[in-house]
Amino acid sequence: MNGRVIVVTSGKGGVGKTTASANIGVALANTGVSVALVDMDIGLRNLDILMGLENRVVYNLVDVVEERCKLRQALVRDKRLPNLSLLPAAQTRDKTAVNAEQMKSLCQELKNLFEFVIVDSPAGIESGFQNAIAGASEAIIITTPEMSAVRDADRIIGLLEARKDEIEQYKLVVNRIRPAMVRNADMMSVDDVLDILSVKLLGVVPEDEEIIISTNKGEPVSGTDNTRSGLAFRNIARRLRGEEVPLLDLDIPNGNWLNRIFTFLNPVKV
Amino acid sequence: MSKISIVSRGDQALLIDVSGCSSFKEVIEQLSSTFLNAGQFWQEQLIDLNLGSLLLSRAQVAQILALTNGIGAKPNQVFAKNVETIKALEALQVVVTNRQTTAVSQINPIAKESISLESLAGEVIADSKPKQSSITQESEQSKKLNNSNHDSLSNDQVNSANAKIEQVIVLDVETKEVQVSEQTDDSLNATDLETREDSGLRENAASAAPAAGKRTALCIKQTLRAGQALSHKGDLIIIGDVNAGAEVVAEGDITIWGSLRGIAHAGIDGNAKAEIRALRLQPIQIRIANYIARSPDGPSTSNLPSPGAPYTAETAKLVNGKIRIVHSTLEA
Repeated sequence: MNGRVIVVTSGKGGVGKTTASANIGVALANTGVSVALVDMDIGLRNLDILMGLENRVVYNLVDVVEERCKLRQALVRDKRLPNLSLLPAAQTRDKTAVNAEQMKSLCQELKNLFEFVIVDSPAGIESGFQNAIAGASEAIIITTPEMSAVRDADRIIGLLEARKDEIEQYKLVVNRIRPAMVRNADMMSVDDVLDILSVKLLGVVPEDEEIIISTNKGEPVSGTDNTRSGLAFRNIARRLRGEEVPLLDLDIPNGNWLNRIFTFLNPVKV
Repeated sequence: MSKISIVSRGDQALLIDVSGCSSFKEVIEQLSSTFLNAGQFWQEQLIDLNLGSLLLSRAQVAQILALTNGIGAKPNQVFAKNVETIKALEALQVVVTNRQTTAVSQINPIAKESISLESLAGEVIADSKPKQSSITQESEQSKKLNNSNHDSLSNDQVNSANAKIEQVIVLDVETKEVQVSEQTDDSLNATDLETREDSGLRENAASAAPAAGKRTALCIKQTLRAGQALSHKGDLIIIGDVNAGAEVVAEGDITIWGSLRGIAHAGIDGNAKAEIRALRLQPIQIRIANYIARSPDGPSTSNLPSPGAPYTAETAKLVNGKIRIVHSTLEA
């Protein structure tokens, strides 16, 4: 098997890298492909909590790299999806515990076992980020419609472009968009963001309270709930598999009929 | 295990005791690995250095001092017994303050610390009169760890442990104190036996037999937070909480005077009689010897204690190849 290694990154913290990684992983696995989620945020691991697998973690990525266990022993199989596995980060170590070469060979090993390898990168542009992208051939850049996040995403895209030989393609996900605020011009629209970053768009995810609930439950929205954000992540997964899926109409969910008429009369492209 | 100990002695300088090392090379190796892991903890830290009876040349002493200076620590006093080493130190104009000082056993504040601990334990025994009816047992899914991997894991963690925790209070329990702690254990067991007879736990109530000769206990008076790891060859006593994301590992028992929310591994060298006790057991995982029990699945928020909920001392132990939690409510 020759899987695709996709790194999820953003530069800025708190924009939803880990949430996106978990949800894209679950959504991909739901389409039937085998998926490995790799938490590269060594020292600040969260992906296991989002997946509800925290209590099953015995070995971790650093144990694999330092050859204290085999890769298969460290992989934690998802509770719901047998074709989804998590490689957790170490909690009691830091980013310097692995290097780029080790990540490359680890990704190579994972590629042979899974069709998709989703790597959750830490915030920042230092060694943690460099290690996370080391073994990847594709990247998903997460940003929110805020100047600070867009600025950091721009920086990340620059760094990814500098490694064109390895990162073959990268696409953008605009996360936590609030259609009502966009309508009032209080928030940048997706077009505004694309205008600045000029990259291909992979998807748009609306802000959703369900995300907080799902994080606490350890059940990513894309797997269980019929939420807008979950649907958005499922669409992203389908696009990753090469399907043509139109962008969500973000104006429907929050609207009562009055809002809908208003939106119909004043269409805003988000 | 590390051959150097770091001793906090109240308001005195931190003592770095390297007298356990057998050669200069070992001193340098152990010191560098400790300093490397502890990061900026040593900045501006006033330290005493005990060289014990090591024989060191002038150049070697200079190298050791350069190492301590390099991490920003401020050397205060240097203890040495070997005549040649003292000459070397004096040649470097280092004042050798007390030639006869041995490290841990003679330091008074630590002895006090252990006494207060024992009296604490005594109070618990006196107060705990668990009712038979209130004892419940809970068995959780256990699985076996791969032995060989397990061993290498423990070794590594033992090596890196010392440095990760700041403000370590080391209790080097000499023979006399071992007896005391054994008595404490026995009286605990006596209480346990009476109340747990019906639970069929009699055979396990005899606690982990101490290793031949000297057995050490490490006492930490602080809350361990996410990312902090602590391991010890011997028993481990933590006065404070062990939060989710923290890991405590011991060859003997683990006793937590607070909540256990992280991972605890007792009997890491395969001692199936090791126990884990805490005032509030809410661990992500409990590991005893080669067995693992995990917390039940469910929302992570459901693990949070209701504010003001009473503390109920609980003990996790291995019974017939399963980790069981013996839960006993204290009588009001």
